[in-house]
Amino acid sequence: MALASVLGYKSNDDFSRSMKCSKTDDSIDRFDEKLNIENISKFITLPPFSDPAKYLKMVNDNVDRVRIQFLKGTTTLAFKFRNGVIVAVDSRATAGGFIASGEVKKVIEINPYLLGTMAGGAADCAFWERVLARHCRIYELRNKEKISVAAASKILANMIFEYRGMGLSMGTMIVGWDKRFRFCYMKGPGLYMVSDDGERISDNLFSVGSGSIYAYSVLDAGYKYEMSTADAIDLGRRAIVHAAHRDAASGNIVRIYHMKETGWEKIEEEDTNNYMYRYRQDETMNF
Amino acid sequence: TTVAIAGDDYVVVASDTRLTENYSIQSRTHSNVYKLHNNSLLLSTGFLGDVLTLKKTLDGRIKTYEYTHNKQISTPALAQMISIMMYGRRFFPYYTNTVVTGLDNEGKGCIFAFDPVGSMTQQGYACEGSAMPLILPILDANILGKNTTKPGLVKRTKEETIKMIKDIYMAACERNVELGDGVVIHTLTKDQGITTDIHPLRKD
Repeated sequence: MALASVLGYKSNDDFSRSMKCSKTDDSIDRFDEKLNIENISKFITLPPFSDPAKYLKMVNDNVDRVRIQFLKGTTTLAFKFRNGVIVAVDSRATAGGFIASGEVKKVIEINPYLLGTMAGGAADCAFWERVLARHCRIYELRNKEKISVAAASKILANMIFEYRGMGLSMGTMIVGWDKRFRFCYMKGPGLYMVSDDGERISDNLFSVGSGSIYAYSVLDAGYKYEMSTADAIDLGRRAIVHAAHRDAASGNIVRIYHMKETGWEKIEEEDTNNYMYRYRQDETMNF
Repeated sequence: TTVAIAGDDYVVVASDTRLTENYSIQSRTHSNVYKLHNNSLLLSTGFLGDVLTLKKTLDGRIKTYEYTHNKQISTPALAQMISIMMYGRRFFPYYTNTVVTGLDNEGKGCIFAFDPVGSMTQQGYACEGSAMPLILPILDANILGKNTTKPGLVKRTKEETIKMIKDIYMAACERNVELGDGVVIHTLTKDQGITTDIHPLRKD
């Protein structure tokens, strides 16, 4: 079925079920829509009122004892340096004032050479990055080469732009490594930030989320492009730990990934509190 | 209020049986646990209309999977399907807090919790409902051993878990008006399937 859709063969259901009863097959398809890139807009049901963003904001507070609160993710950061890209995230998910989970995976492993981070609405990031993963895989099968980070982030930004103004909340960073040197764009590590209003920008250093203000201060103080890998990991870790310390909505576990030429590698996942106690005792910093 | 706890080869799931609407009790025998066709359990609290519609749609999707793929859907796959289904209503959400539990391919208990728009997280235990702020800290302390004199993960057998759940519900219904009447405890294991136990609680 995947092969048929890669080749652009639209009526793949007839192809695989030609011998069976077509009447029941049709009714099954109407009931159980296949989620493809082509029909996502049919799949996400339109609400019966005109301004979903306003409605969702209303029920997020309290309307007649109805309270629909989404899980929101909080401090993530990524920066390019000499040996690749470091991605560091915390792991706390809050729903209003309640800590819903302390073990959320905020780095979404799209494929072995592309990572996406999650900040803002957890469901939004998880869903759209899953759609992006599917699209990247189809690109790879059709074109026999890995998709570039610029193209992957552009696909995501374009998909999000369709839903602009409807209340999506996501600030995600797409991190990867481009192998081929084609059409004069930069080869090597790629880092793009894509946000829910369709904004897509590339830079060496990003931090997203409620704790990003604290992370930025630590990052800006210590960032040098020529850092060694160990220093870069330490900088990313310190930034998240300090953000977790000061921001109520960030904390629990810090996860660090390193994007290299051979793909991404998970460096560690440790409790932020333990690191904070260590930093308190050890006054030396690297900058 | 519902509670789910996963063990090495079992899952214990409990729900109180009181259904309330603004301080009136509509039913004393309504459980929030629903058995799904593939031998997993769906726990869902929130708006009952959305819960029942979600269960009905899920039943249909599970059967469709079984007919098209010629095998029962596994719990992790079912969890992913629920996540996508709930995101389909991103702009008019299902007002439910759902948890789906079952045994994965190796026979270990697994629990997947969702927020109203389908953000999925895999956990070792879950609690949803009106008494969640009361019960969840007790579970954190007893299961993960956090903030206790002997920190560290605590391993329990099925029977010990069931006893702990009964104690927790009996304590919680003293302090929450929407809890009471009874607690239904289901245990899911590979050999015995789903066994059910009903324990009465205060009716006031």
